[in-house]
Amino acid sequence: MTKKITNKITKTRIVVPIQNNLKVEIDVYYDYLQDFLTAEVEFPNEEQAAQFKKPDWLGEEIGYKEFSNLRLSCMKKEEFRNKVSEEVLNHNKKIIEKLSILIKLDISNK
Amino acid sequence: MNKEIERKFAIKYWPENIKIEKVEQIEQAFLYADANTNIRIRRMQVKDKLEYIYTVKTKGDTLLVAKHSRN
Repeated sequence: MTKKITNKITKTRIVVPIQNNLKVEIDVYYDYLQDFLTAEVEFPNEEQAAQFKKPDWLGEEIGYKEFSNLRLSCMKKEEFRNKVSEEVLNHNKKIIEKLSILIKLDISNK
Repeated sequence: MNKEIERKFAIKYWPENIKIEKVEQIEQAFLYADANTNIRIRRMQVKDKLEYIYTVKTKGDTLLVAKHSRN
């Protein structure tokens, strides 16, 4: 079944190097995904992905397909709010405020 | 095509003294998606450099089709 994609996703990506020449891409989302925050690590091979020991500041693993950008772009705000709790968004808001001081992000709705 | 192997996490806290390599402002949307393939368009800004990128992803592989850059 084909999908008609209508939503535009707007985000700020912050790239941070970590161990073993890996990088974390932190995505700060806006608009209907306001306060959504993810950290993605890309690996050169499956073995390294399986053996990865995440730094302490990374939290639980998020379903990669469930929150892929394709899935997010198909969601309406209500569906997104049903999937991500207010508690998580409030937690993220504090981190985003810290980030905004560091990199002068515009944290208001874009 | 490049196969993407990625893992996605939440963030527990922002660590002190962490180095930020770069910051990108991204707008993106998908022109097409089915069970096997999606086509993404992206506008990406890094400082004064602006890029427009058209990408096809199919079953985990990524093919960069076109990119236009301007300063």
